[in-house]
Amino acid sequence: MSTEAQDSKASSLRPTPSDSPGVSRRLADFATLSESLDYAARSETGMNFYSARGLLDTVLPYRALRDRSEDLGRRLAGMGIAPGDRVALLAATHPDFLAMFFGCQYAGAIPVPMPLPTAFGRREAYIEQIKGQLRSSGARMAVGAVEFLPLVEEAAAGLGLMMIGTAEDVYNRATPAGALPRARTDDLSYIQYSSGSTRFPTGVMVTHANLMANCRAMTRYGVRNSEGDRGASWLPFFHDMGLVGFMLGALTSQTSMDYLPTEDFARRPLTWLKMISENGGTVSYAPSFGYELCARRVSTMAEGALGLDLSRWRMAGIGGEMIKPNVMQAFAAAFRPYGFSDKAFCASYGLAECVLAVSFSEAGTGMLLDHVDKDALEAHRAVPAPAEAEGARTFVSCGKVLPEHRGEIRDEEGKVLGERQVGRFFVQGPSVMQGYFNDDEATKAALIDGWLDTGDLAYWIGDELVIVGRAKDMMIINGRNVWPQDIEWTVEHIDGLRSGDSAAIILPNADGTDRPTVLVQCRASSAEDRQKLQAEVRAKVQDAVGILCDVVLVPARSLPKTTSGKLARGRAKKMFEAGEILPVEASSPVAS
Amino acid sequence: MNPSAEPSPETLATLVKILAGFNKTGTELKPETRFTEDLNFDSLVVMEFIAVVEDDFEISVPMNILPDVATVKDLALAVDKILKDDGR
Repeated sequence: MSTEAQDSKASSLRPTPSDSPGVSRRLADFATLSESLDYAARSETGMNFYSARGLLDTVLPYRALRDRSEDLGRRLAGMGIAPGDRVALLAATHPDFLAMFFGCQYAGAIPVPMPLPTAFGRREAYIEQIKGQLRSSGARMAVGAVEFLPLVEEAAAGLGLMMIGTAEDVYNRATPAGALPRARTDDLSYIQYSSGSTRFPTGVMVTHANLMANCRAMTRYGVRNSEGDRGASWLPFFHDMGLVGFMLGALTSQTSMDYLPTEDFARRPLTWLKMISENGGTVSYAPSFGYELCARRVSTMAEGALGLDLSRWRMAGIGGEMIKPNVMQAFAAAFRPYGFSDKAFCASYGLAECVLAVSFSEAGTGMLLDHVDKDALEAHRAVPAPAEAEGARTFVSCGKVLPEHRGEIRDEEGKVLGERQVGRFFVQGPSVMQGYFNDDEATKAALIDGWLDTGDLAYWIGDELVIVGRAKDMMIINGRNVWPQDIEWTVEHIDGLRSGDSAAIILPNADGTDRPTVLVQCRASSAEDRQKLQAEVRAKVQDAVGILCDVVLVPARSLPKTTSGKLARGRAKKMFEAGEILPVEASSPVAS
Repeated sequence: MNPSAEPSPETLATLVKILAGFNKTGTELKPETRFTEDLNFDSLVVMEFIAVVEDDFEISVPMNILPDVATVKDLALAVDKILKDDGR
């Protein structure tokens, strides 16, 4: 389509309104997702899809989404998809994904959102990831946009799927079934692969009851959704923040949404803000790096050059990775001329294993910073320190645990800790997942006596939760979960290296973010060979895992092992930080 | 990408010019230069770079080509194809 044609199309489209007089907002008090869509369909609200240039591309009122989804549900049933069958969906920010997701709900099938490729040249790594999720979920069918199907076909080779195609293929190939099954509130609503390593993916099982409990708590007590509220999002639907926060949370509260595809946000971040400005968005979320991209882009422009009005944006949520206070302050300063208030910042905490949200800071109050002493922190105590003190670490409070949910911070022996003592955070409540799909071992490790072990380290200030890092091995890099096992597996398949030769660890940067580092046992003696090895490890890790990491060469047999001969990763990190494992000489400085 | 095909010299030259602004490793920019291994592009940098490429060539780069684009030459071939498909 030509630019002119797009412009004229956009000018004839109107986004759905923020309010629908006569239909009062119900906040997730439904038994199932399909019931919530049936109710949303009475309203004039809905979802609006924008292009990279900020033009309105498609308007999908909830009414139209309901009709299309119900029809697709009948067709899925007509194709032989039975209640409980898994259907893999490539989670593009596109109406087809939503129609298929809710089509599954009407058919009683379980949608499994899958990621899209985002990096250059990582074909094999992407296919492995999709294959792992298809295999783990036992998906009977995979649906996505036509341009991605060759990749899916390759990933699905040998897995015996009944169909790989587009939403249109489902529409064309099937005869609609007459009757639809009726989902119950304790049935699974979807499975989400947002955690777990690439090679050993773990799918979070979420029931309708779990989902509604989280959406209810979030919209009532966290967001305090009411008439006039409108959401904006570029977050991918294959992560919990995008899927639950801005798709299911919006739908179950009949809130209108404005969407920008993630790849378009990354290309043109300011389009996000333009969308909020034009439609009067009141609620939008991003990880710190989303705010950072915008602040960086606007730093080269004259003040006021953008003509944005961000004054109605009352909740600028931050989540998904450790919050960087300085980045947030830079954003607030850059967009204050456009009516943005730093009181809109809302730090929150959550994880897919609890559907999405666990805690929210008080809406409209901005970030509550806590400065603590670094040395005391290492001894698991959060002792207040002056902000300017050398070695002070700054954390952001993530607010109170949501109503109906309970949190506990425990030490390594399981003893419940009091205020300002750092330990492992556990949560209990109606949003906690049923477990990991077909993975009893991982489920048993995560769910203990009805409590979910979040794997995060935290402390309390009064009843406010402060997250300080991760007890589990997982690293979060630019909002992505990265598992050290995946890095080590990659490194140990390099010629000349073998199993147990590497330890992927996280070292903290000064601002509290994760710096992935891999320690590699090196047998080469020449400086040239060592440099070559270092470069190769970096490149292979970036290629296979998609992150940049520091590579530190250490002597052969220096990495500690457990009694059963496995790598003792935690001990390796401690020993390296204590100087008990020293890097080998003549490693070249690593470019970064 | 077809290994025997050659990109147009103009496309290649323009890409190298754009890349200079993203070349933080001081790598020599050649058709064989790899984005991840040689230039350390992460997924955010990839998108920022693509935005500039799109503006410069006045094209839209579809995301599904990313997994198959490893080198500057791969990208030049992909850009040539997009230009051709656009009738330019």
